[in-house]
Amino acid sequence: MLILFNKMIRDLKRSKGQFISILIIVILGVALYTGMNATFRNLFEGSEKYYKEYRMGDIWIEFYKAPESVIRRVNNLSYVKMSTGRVVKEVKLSSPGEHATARIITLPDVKRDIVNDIVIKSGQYFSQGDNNQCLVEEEFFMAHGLKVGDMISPIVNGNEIKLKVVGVVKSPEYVYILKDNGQMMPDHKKFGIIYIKNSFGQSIFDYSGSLNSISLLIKDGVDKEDVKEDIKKELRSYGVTGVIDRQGQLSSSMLNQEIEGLKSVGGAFPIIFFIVAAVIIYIMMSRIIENQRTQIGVLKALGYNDIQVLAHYLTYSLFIGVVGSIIGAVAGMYLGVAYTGLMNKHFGLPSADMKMYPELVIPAALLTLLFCLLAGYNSCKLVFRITPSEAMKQKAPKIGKRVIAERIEVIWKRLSYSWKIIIRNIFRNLKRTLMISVGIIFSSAIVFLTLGMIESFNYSMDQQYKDIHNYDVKINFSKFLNNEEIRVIRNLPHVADLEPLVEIGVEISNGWRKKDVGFKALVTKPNMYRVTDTDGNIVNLPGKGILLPEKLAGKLDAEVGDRVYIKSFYPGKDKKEVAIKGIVAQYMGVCAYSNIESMNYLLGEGSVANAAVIKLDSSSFAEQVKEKLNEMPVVSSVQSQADEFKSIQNQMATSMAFMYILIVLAAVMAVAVVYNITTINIFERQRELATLKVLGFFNGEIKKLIFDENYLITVFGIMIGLPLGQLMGSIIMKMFDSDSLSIPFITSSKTYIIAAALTVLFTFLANNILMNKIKSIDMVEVLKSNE
Amino acid sequence: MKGNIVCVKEVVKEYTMGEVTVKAVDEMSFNIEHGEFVVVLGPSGSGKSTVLNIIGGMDRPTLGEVWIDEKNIAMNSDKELTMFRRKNIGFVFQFYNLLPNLTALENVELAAQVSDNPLNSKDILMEVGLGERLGNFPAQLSGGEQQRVAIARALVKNPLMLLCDEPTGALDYKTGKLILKLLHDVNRKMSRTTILITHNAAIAAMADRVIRVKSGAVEAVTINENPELPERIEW
Repeated sequence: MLILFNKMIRDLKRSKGQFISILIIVILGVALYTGMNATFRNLFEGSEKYYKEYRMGDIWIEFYKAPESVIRRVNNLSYVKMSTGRVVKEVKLSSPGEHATARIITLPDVKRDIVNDIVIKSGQYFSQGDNNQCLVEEEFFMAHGLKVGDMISPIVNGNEIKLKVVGVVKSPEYVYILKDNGQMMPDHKKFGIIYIKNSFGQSIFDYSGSLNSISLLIKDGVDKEDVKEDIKKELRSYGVTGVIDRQGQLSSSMLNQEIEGLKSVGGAFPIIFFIVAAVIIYIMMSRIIENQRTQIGVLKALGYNDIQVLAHYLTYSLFIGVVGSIIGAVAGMYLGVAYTGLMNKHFGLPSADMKMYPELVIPAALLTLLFCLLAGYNSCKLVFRITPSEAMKQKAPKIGKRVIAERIEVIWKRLSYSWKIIIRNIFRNLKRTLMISVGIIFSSAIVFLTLGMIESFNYSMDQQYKDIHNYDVKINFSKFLNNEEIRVIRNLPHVADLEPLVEIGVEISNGWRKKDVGFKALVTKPNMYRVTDTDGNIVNLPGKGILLPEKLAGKLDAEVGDRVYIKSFYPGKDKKEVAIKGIVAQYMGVCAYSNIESMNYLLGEGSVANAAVIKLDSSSFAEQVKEKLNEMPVVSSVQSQADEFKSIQNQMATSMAFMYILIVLAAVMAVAVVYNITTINIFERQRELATLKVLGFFNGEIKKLIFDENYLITVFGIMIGLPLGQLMGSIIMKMFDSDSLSIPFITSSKTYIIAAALTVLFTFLANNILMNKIKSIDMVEVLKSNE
Repeated sequence: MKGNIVCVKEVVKEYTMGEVTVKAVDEMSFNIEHGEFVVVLGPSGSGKSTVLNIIGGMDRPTLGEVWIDEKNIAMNSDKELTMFRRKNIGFVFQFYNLLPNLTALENVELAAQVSDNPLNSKDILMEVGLGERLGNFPAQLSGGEQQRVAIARALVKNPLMLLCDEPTGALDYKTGKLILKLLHDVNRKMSRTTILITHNAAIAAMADRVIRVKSGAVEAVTINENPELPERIEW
């Protein structure tokens, strides 16, 4: 059998170009599969380990104020394994940085095991001495270039407080550091986490002996929904503002989403490569069998049986599968390590090992072999039909007949000879045509869907930041302001316009369906902080009733006209029934809208606002106005629209890199398929092409004959590929849909044109590589022998 | 008008295969006059096909001169050779080499398309006796019919010369004779110079000039004052 093995190696060597191009596709598929899945596992296991080691909470309860003794009561609840109480407050900083916001969280004065523990990366935990020691979350620390021993100055109730940095920490609670789910991308300069001593926090926030947040670990086997309900009741008298579980926790859900994304990418894309590899293997093997008819006849005449001959030809695809798996797996392992590293730069999981998973090679190799052998078997089963006596005879020439296209005589008559040859060739080798099409279809679909995702993102951000919200600065107040206080801000120099807002958290329920969401009250006809319907038209707020984003309405199973119940997290408020007056579009976050008067009726707050958006005379005054606002004690945070937009775009740049890699992979795939199958096309028609040369056709004219066929198939493939990409794109976007982000898959004609042009370019590249094959057709050699 | 249409002077053709150099043609020289029916006769490996390819502009000699219609094509570029073939040469092959995807008529028209002053494709096909089979594809034609299409395809360009490489090699005796008759008729009627190479010595009887080659060199050139009619030839 070794002799037959040598025969295979030599045969493959002769079709080197084809062999290598198939191998590249197999390698890409395997490398993508192992790499993405390794990254997924590294990050998933890394986060699980991290959560376990540092006791990531199962449930978080936020409330206005409760005495510390409540912890004892909570600990006595049957389902609680462990609980930790703390004070959590958001404050502005006067240094470092330009008006950053920090979330201050209190920790025990003396280190002990708590829920949501911290990892000390450098420096140390609080010492017994000074009260004003603090620990700073690593990302914020790095973003501001802080050093241990530096001072940080938060502003608490109008007073600047000096905190001394004694250590740098990370927490499982803040893998993804977002202020709230209205913020899409972390901005470590603008928002960070600072930990201070519990005793110190209680004194500066006026919380002596009290807490406003409890984190729980619950016992195994307890239903967390029941726990959430029960604890809400238990702590009702303290004004519960929110109860969330780990799934709803912002950092954890963002991390989860990213990791799940990797999993689906790791599953879907490699399959495309395997399918394409299978297609080319099928074509190549069919051709090899075709050409080796005589040899097969000889082998059979020598006494090899069908199975032995089949086995021999299966070794070709087996060989490709094995070699591809090995190289791909090795490449994939390194890809996994590199990608884990890249992703973890983003997450900073301290326990994410960059492990390699040799066992991932097994499913990858099995998948590869499955596709390779399936393709191999289907092409090689032809050997059963070859009998020795027949094989030695001359093969009957290909039957020429008219193709369907010729029936349309008006068009057919106008075609030049080269187009007639091309079209007949396409129809007579339908199988081969379809195979090139498959490559082009997938390639153009991938290109289209990646470009479409980029465009959708840009479009949504433009909408969000330029059309829907066209304010310059958004201000959050530390309390509800009355009209008088708001007027002071309205009258600041350079403020051209102001719109008050109310932003609170509510629970919306419809029957048994419940959802904790944000609630925003706007003026009736907003000019700056606006909402749009699902078609993108700006809508006014209804006099009575609320507007819900499409997704929330879906989750509550509610439609326009339905009545739902709203309950504010503020203590002592009752459920109010309210009608849904409309459905709106929302890209980021989930919240319900009403107008301010309606909100007052619903929640009885009086005519006040706890936030506002302003427009300036000119955006050049933005810094000046921000400065002034930050000096006001009632202002808790100030965000300029432009800064946020810029920071989102910067953050997205890294994610875009993966998109461009996908486009490159699609290019490689298209070039490999076109190259491969055209090589066969040229080979099979050598005689015909040589005849044309003899007749006095120039290389350029012959080239056209082959290449135009590819272009025609490419155009056909694009016509199917682009709609397929549209379909895949909307499915993928739906998969990535979450509470914090929901972007529709929106594509313009520009994307269609670019995707089509790129695909044609791929074919052009493949054609150029093939140029030499056409130049080197030897008239004399080819015409001499009649194989 | 008489005169040399082909003038081959001391042509050498070497093929290098790895370290071995093979001389397929070794200092071959001969002339052919306008309008002649020439048979180049020799066993396989004698270099007859190679020299035909060189005359037809499909290949270039390593050394020597090849004068066709008073132009030396020995040093022509690929492009010039293509142009030369387009204008001057009609080829007929042993295995016809028709384009399988084109009908008989289309095969002929295809050649007409690249020619400066082509003849009418349909007329030519009638001339070779295929007026009824214009729309058939090669696979639907017999070997003899395919060779007729090939001859029509060569003639439609209105070429300077017709080069035929074993045109009867793949045909049975009877059909082969009919093809020879067709070639002969064409030569006589259109006074088109025709060079036919074969290993079949019997065919030499119908030629105006017989060039016998052996081991890459000309062994003898014979002028037949009274060539036989192809119908009379027996083998």
